[in-house]
Amino acid sequence: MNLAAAALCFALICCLSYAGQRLWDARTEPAIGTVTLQATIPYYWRLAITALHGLGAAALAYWGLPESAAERLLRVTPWLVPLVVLPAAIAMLMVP
Amino acid sequence: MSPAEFFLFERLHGHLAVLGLAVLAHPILSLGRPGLSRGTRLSALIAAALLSLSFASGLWIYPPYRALVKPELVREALPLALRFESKEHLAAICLALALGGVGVLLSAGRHPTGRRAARVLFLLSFLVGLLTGALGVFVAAGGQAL
Repeated sequence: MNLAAAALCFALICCLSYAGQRLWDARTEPAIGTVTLQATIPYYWRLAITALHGLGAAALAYWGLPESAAERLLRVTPWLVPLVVLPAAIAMLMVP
Repeated sequence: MSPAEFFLFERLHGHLAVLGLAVLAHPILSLGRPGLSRGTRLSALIAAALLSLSFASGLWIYPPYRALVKPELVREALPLALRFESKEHLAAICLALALGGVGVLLSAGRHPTGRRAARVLFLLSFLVGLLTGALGVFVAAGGQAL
């Protein structure tokens, strides 16, 4: 069950991390169209950090979570996942 | 990358995503039944692979998009450029959910709890993917009209 909990944590933390980073960036970045040349692509950086967060959370869940907690986590998935994903998706529509 | 190559890969990227979403419908439906078949596992794997390929091809054509398409899109149709950005964000969420769903299915697919968790992940991935695809079609159609 720990491997399944790790996969679930990977998905959830990736969604949270990506949306969080995007919302954080949106506070300070210049308006779209005002920057004509960038040395780096923020989207790539955001994805790389998202993957790191997701893999870190998966590792923590795999090695750090007791079997019973992993099972409990899987049991609450039907309401936990929409609770995390839907606000994140709506935020990504509202803050492009 | 030449503009012709860019538009070729852009179409390939879109077609792979549509194929991936179509295949993803299979595990969503079949996980509603008791038990786990080999076909369900296989279709979940194929869907995740197709969505990953589509995402990877999107990452590959992103720099040419920024150089060839984005400046004109921002200048001529700012709402389309913003919708494109939303599409990229939603695609990342869609892929994370599909990969998580495959992980859950392969490791805990024999238990009803695991199957239910995988189904929820696939269903949300599918819905977010549909939204991503709709935005992609909207932006591509608008971009061609420019």
